[in-house]
Amino acid sequence: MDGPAQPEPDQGQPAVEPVSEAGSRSRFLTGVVVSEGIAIGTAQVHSEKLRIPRYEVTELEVKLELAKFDRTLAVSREQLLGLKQQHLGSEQTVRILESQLLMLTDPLFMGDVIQRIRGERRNAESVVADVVDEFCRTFEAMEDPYMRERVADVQDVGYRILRNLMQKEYISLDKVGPNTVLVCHQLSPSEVAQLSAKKVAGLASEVGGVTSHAAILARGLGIPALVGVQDVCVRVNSGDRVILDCVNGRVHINPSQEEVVEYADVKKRLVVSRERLLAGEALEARTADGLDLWLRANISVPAEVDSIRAFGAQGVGLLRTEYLYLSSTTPPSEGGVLLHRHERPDPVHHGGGPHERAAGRGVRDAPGGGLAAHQDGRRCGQARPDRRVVLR
Amino acid sequence: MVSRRALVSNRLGFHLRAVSTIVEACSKFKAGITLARDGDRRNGRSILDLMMLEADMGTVLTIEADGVDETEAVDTLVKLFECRFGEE
Repeated sequence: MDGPAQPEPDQGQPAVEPVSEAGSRSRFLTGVVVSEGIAIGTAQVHSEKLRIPRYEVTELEVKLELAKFDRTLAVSREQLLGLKQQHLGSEQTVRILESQLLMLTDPLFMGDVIQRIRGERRNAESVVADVVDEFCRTFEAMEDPYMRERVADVQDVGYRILRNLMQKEYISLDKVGPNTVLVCHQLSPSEVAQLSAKKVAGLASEVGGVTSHAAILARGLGIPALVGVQDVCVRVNSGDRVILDCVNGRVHINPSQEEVVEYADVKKRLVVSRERLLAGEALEARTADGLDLWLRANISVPAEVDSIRAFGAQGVGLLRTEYLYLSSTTPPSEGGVLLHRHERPDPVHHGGGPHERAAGRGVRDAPGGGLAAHQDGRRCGQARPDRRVVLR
Repeated sequence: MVSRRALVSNRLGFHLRAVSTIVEACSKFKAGITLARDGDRRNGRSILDLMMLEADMGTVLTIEADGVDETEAVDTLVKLFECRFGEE
């Protein structure tokens, strides 16, 4: 959560610059390309970085702060109940929302907030932020990785209360429509794992790196992404039209019609050149001296199977199982992991091919990952279990 | 006051589902209810407090209830532990 209140950065620029001639440039921000492509869409700011106002209040104002906090809890409760109503079909989602509802009425959490607003005579926002932070630190220190992951739930509830206190719009990833360019401070890997290229046109974040897990996932899903775009959450507003140029590393905010046309053309050319490269996809992976090789790709989430197929991969070299855990609230069962492996219409099975050992890589020590990996370990007789799945 | 020991016998231990079930059950009683692990006593109505027990499968907890419906409360909770919080 944020430090002391900071003045809002200058937002004095006009939203749209006048368009005079073709080729005129609207304002843009720069960033680092982590997943190539062009996205033209509507921005949705999904900012985790809230600027928390911090101030002391008088004895009389304490009552007002408490009343404000109370109203906010009621609003948050209504929102969660509404969300639950929308997701009645999904037992798991309902369970997550129910546990969040319980956190909203948690006597320890809420009791602490009320007691501290009274005792420390501070505004509700700063107290809620501090209490959420303290709970998160406690959970982060836990040994059990599943429990550590609960930090996300506590934060989620905390942010909901804070957003409602500060009357900021709450954006959930569920509401993201097609042609949305998600703008955020930092996307967590589990958030990216929930996305699909069909739902999101592009991603732009303030922090992150080329090798961050979120970036790796974005590339795997074929979603154009930029990281390190300074102040993008402040400079871009939800609803702005943006062009995400993930070739040159630029975010164009409210571009002119000429630019949109220009970029639509660039995007088309990129698709064509990509298709030309993929034309060799059906060719056998054979060296000049006739040695057959297995071409396999590493994946993290089942959705990536589609994109590695498009690139002509014959199988999966390494399946990073941790995202199966991170994107779910309960550890996936062995059956669930196997289901992921078989959910393709045609059978997906592992098998040995030539040079099996050359491609052999250990499964990372994902929490409980050994569960599913052992089967292969037994088959291959290797010390480090190997996950290899062949698409036929 | 009524006090009984209960074994965490579900595979996932005190994960969200189990803890939510306990909190929901505790909310139906008037008695004050605590769950303790080696003297570390936590509020039965607080999902966050209970998760901090980090009780995994095999942990023995002491359930304590104090109030008009204490016996019924402890019985209900012990039954929840026995049926592994509905986990298959």
